[in-house]
Amino acid sequence: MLLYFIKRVLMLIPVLFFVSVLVFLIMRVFSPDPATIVLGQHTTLEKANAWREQMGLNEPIIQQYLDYMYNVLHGDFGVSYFTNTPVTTELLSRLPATIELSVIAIIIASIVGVFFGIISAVKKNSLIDNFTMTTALIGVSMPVFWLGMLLIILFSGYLHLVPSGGRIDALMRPLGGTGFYFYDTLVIGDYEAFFNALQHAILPAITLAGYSMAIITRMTRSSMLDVLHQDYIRTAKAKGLSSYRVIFKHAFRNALLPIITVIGLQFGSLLSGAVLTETVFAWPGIGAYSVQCILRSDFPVIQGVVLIVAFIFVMMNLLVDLLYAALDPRVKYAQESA
Amino acid sequence: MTDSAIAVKRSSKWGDMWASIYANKAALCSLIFILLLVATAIVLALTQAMGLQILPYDPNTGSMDEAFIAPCAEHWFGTDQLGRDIFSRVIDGTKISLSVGVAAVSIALITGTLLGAIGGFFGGKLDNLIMRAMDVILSVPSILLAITFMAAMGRGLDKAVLAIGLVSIPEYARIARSCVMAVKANDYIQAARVTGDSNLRIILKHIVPNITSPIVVRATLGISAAVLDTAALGFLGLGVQPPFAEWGDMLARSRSFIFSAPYTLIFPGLAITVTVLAFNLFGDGLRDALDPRSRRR
Repeated sequence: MLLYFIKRVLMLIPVLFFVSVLVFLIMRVFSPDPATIVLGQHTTLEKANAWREQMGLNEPIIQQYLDYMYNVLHGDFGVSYFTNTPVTTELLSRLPATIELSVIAIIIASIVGVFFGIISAVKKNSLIDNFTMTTALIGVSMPVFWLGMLLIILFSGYLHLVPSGGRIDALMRPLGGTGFYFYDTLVIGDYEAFFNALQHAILPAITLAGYSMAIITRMTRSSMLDVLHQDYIRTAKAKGLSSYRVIFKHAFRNALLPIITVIGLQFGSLLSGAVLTETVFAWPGIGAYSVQCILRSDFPVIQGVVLIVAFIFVMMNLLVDLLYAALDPRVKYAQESA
Repeated sequence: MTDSAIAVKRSSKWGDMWASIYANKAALCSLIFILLLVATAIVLALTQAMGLQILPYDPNTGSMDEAFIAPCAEHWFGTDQLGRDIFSRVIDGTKISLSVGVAAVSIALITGTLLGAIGGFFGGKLDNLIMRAMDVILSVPSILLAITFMAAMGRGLDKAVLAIGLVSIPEYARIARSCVMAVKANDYIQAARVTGDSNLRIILKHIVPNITSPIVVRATLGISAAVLDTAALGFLGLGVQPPFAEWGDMLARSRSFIFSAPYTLIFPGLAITVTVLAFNLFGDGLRDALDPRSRRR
């Protein structure tokens, strides 16, 4: 197990290295001269040159890359072209909002998805199965930002149940703290603020969860169906176990592996779905922020966001693989001997 | 017993496929809907190129006097903030969404299949190099990578096509590679080699026909993903530039009127969802038809 773990972690290094090269090249090769974007089309040659010199853009590209990576490994993602603030500061202040939203979304998606997936599989071809599968199919076909807008129209526009955007009412914002509002408000015991944050989070979280919920439901259903056809399930039923016991103790535990895989992979893709969801709900996370930066070509910030998200994505994939090996002895054995 | 009694009717792969799709009502309806969309897009492009207007209203111009008319007999889907007829704009949007979807998938399909097939057929270092490159692309979430490309290249539909196409190359490369490797292991490929067939002949005669089905299925589902991605890029303001009608862009512009004129964003969103749904259903049906093993229980 330890050997497998070390091998997998070492394999990350080349992947992350090439991702950083890819992102760096996209930003430098495909893009026009950032000086004309930042200083405007009508800037003078001297001014543009001075700015490039200041930003280190006159160095050879390999030198630029090495400098950039040296700084990144020391926690410095450069400086925003427009606000001149360090990218690290900007991202760190917004990352908690995105992580909080993604975690709530993946919890909702997993619980609802697994629940309906199991029901669908157990009651195969029933009304509820057909309804669930149709909903899941529509769920994967719907643009996430449209789902968000429909929820806003219904729940804030007509029903006035929840606010249509933002993360918490301005007056209730917890000062200092970790930036994770749920945690911060609970620690100081401000339950009113906690419920205010919860009200703000519910629609964006459901929106973000929608697509993953549909995928998890489908995966749970098909994985459960595979298992329910096995001989040992028939044996368990034949020896008179309750259907609850058969479904949860025998079937679900064995159907769990692919479900865990898909949940892990969905968490990674939630981070990119956050770009759209956060824009719709004016959620102050890195998703909405990176859209602003893309629209004004703030390359250092975009580069930082992509690197961080890719890092989290790759780490999630690694976690899924390790969990897989931990849960299924057959996987571990096969991969260690390979 | 005569010979004719045991003669089995020779069934072709494509004949079976059509029979299977014909029996699957959802896939059949989706196919009809997709053909309708394609016909609409082509007719619109042709008539507009000739300067004819077959839509009830000009999709790109309107008058401010007619802004925000709720759906009614004259304007089935209502009018937007500039007084343009939303029905005409939604129909006109078919052109952009479909052409971007098809173009992006074509880029990904051709490049990806070629790379994957080369890797799978020749193996060795070249294969390793190609597949590791694909791994790198896959380790960044695809819509984020597409946005990154757009951020660097600038806005515009042509760039959206390129961005969406580039990020989906690895899917096709992986499918093509695994199919080629599976086919290559068969005895009849060895036999073809022994009889002196060239690599090119083996690829064209034995490998290409065997990898078409999974690639076609993937491409159908790929168009639905591309239509969604196009809408997402349009929504973020990176796709088509005004005044042209694109569904995602229409949704972005309706956002400010979400409470005062919700109908402005119902129909473009519905158009995206129904189109994507049709490609998904048809893709699923096609997969079941071409690969009976994957048929859903």
